Amino acid sequence: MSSVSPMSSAGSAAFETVIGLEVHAQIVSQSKLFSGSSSQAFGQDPNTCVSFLDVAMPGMLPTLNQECVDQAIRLGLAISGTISLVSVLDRKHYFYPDNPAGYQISQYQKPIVQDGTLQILSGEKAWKTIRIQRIHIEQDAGKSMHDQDPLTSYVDFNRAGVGLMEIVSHPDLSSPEEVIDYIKRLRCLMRYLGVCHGDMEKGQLRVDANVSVRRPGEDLGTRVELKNMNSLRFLHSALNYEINRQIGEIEHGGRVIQETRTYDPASGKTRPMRTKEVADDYFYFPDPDLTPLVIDSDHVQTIASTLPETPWAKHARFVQVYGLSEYDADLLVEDMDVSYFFEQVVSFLSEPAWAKLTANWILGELFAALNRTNTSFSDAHIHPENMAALIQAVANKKLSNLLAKEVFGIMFETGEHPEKIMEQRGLVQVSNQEDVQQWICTVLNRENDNVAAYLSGKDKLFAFFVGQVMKESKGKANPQAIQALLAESLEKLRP
Amino acid sequence: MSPLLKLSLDQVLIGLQSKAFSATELTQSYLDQIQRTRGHNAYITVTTERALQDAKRSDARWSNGTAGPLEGIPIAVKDAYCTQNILTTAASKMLHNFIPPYESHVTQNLAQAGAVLLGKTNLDEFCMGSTTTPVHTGPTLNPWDVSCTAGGSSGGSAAAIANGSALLALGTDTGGSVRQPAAFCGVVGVKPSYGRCSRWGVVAFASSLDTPGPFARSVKDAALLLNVMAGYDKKDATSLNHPVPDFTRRIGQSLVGKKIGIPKEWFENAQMDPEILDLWKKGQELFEKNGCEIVHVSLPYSSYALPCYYILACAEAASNLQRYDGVKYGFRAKNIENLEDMYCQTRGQGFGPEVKRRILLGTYVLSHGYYDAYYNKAQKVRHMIQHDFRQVFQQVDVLLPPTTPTPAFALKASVSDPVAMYWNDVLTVPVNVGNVCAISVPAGLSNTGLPLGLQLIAPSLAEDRLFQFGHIIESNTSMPDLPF
Amino acid sequence: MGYFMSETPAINPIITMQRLARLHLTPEESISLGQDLAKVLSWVGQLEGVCVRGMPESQQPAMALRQDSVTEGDQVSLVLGNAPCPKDSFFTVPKVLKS
Repeated sequence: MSSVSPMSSAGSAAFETVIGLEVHAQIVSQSKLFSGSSSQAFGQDPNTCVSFLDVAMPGMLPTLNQECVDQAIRLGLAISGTISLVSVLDRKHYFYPDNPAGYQISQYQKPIVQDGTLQILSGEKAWKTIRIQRIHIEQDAGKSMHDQDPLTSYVDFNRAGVGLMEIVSHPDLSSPEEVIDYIKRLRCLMRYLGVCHGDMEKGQLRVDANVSVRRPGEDLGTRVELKNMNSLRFLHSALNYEINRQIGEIEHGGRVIQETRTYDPASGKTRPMRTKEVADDYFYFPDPDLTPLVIDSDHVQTIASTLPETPWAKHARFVQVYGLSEYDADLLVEDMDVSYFFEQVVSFLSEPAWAKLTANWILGELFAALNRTNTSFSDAHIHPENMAALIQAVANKKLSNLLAKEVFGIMFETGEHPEKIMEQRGLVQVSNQEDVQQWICTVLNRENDNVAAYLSGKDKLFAFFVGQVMKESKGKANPQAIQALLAESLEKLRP
Repeated sequence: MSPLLKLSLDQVLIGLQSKAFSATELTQSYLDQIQRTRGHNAYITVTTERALQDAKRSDARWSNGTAGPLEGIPIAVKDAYCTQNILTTAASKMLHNFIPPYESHVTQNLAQAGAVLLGKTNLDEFCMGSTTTPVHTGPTLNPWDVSCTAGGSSGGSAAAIANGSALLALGTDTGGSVRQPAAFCGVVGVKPSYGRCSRWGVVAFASSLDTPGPFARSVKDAALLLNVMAGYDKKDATSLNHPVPDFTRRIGQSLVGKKIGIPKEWFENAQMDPEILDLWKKGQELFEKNGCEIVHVSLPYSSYALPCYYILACAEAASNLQRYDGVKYGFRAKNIENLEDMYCQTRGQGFGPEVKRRILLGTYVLSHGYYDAYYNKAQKVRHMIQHDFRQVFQQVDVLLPPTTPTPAFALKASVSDPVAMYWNDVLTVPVNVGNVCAISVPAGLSNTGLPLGLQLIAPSLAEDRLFQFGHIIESNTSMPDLPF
Repeated sequence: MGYFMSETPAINPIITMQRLARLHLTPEESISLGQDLAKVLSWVGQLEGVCVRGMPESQQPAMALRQDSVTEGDQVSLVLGNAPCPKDSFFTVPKVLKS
């Protein structure tokens, strides 16, 4: 569970930042958008997931994948967008080796989804609505590799033709932090819906940003397009750098040039991309090998009725039903597997009120253990029943927090049932007076000077004694029991 | 020359069934004829080995009673159809060495029906042109008069029928590329309804207009070939999901009471040779004698069909040809400096002048700032033309114009004005733009002995009318034998 | 647009179109194709005057969609079989800039 480490935020009070995003999300499907080759080509040998259409051989024709259309409808519905019952597939022309037909099939004027919104958290508490302009489907390009040889580039068409959803936001984002939150929430939503896996390292999610700055009240500043930021960290860095660069430019009396810039991770800076000699015209026109995409409104209804629960619906449910705080609910919901685990654990508990305790343990001890051992949640196999048993023991005071942490640690490593662990290693909380008293006496006998100090007024030493008793008992003593008996024992020692 | 060459399709099928001769014998006769007529340059590739293999297979099928509808029939295929493991060039240097690893849907249908592949015929480069004069593979000569063009773009297939070196042939019709060479070569050529035959595996010129179509010596043979070519193909999103009838079913049925439409604007504007006008008049009289009523109809927007066609076809062509970039297959220029150089040199050297002309025009009409005025406008005009046809077919059963404004013209006649050259298609293009179907049937000779064709046009999916009415022209016209 | 379609543009568009279409033309070709282009553009420009008000809706059938299943792949030799410069299962092209 990595998070973007907070970096110094860009900007200055004198300037507003305006950011719009174009997110390319690879669609989860068996086959590609227009051909029957596999769309799960990442890591496969070159040119093995390639159909004759994917290399644009003469006479080959596209046929649109129903599932890809449905995936776009799912996302469109989840962002409360309008599904266009008639949309058009257009050709977008440009020459590049990874674009086999010399055109990409995309959507220009009539995309499949129009409008929509996504809520993000701006700062810590304030919800902000980001408007989404459109979602359209299009083909992904192949891959050109330039490092194999000084004179030639190598081209692999495995990725050519994989379905993409391009999600275009309005320029409603105002800071790099908002952008990160937007991407995280969008990605989370797409994972919940099963429409995109969103792994940026595998190229399943790519973000281009349009960035400009302006003084408050002024017209929109010149936009710069940023590309090639293939992790959240790079995205944040790039935006920070660019915003500061633009502000610096203006403050020194210069102008921001409209251009496309690429992020260089090594230097942490953005720099202009090679400008082309002739501004390319994309020659958009409706693909004559296809006819308009007509979607039945009944079909949209069917999809709507079978839509998986969205992250915010789950969030609302966690807050309402389980009484979790907004913050905790947010953290649990971020990973679908974690939130599912949470509910499974709670289902094994005899008291629903212990849901909050469960949340604390997951967000606390469990996440800490994952971080410490550098394990992802999906790789750590924690049985919900085991987790529930542990929570139960804590709630029933069979285990002190301290002991429970120890038990948890062993459970995390070995996968054993907590009761078995407690039994085998004697990690049961001891509350009986005799044993506790024994430990208290041992400690007080040893700490003569401190006892004297306490009795002469140093009240703070009480906590010290509690700690010593806990240590003496190897964590097994019930803290409440210690408290009661310790006070009594100390009083008895007063001359 | 073998007498087998003179047999019609019906006669051949009977002969094969009764074992009067074998498919191998028949195929060999055709292969010999191809050699004999090679001066006409109808064929780019003769597939001798494959033909004899096919024939052997057909002989076996005739023996064990599993013969298909075209079992053992020798067929020539325009070199725009991708044939698996057989060189497919589209008459272009760009594809001079292209060996497709797949078979086009239509030629697959043919193979399944038992046809024997004789070879790949010549065409205008990438199907663009009306003369079959590609730079890369040289011109095809008209078997009736070798100083004349065979027409285009499917000139090779038309010539192969006319010179007896194929019994049936395949072409593609985008703006008249089957009908016009059929008329010039005195054979039957059909443009079926768009979507009737799958375009999968056919080298694309203009996607919304390209229509695979048959060539034959007679109307009935053409119908039988179309029976096999046609059919829904889910690999082609523009393929029509309609059942394929037996296209011969109306041949011989009475035409009494049927209405023949004469398009007024075509009469007024097509600038036809007097011989053609005469032929047209005779054609109308012929149908009147057979009980039809002649109705003068108006297709007002059809006057714009030709410029409309050129805008749309060239735009789609420019787009479809962007894939020819030297990266994945085909020609790549040598001595190139960098990527951009590779693109420009490959395409500059790989394409002939007509292709370049059309790419440049297509690029222009799609470009930002001109798209609305040209491409978008042409689409709208196209819809109006389609509407015109729908209206007219509520009044008449078929339309009857000539196929071409002139007979085949001399190869040497240099036409420097491209617009004048495009005028050849004035009577055929409205059919493609209008999304209807048509047939060209030989109907007479010019006074220099060149064949002339009459066209019949029917609504989309009504090809059987074409064969019904076409048969009447054929049976009432005394055409000389084909020149072999 | 700054001029009517029926007028041929004062500046020959051939240079721009040639670049956009990645078509190298010899100087002779530029001239002759440029002239051809101008003639054809002028001629097709007659559509400008055509009135298309009250245009009927297009009658295209709705597109049939394909079921999502893997039906093709694992055919590297066929895919690369016609490649001008294949290397180790890749297509190769010259780099954008000369090294």
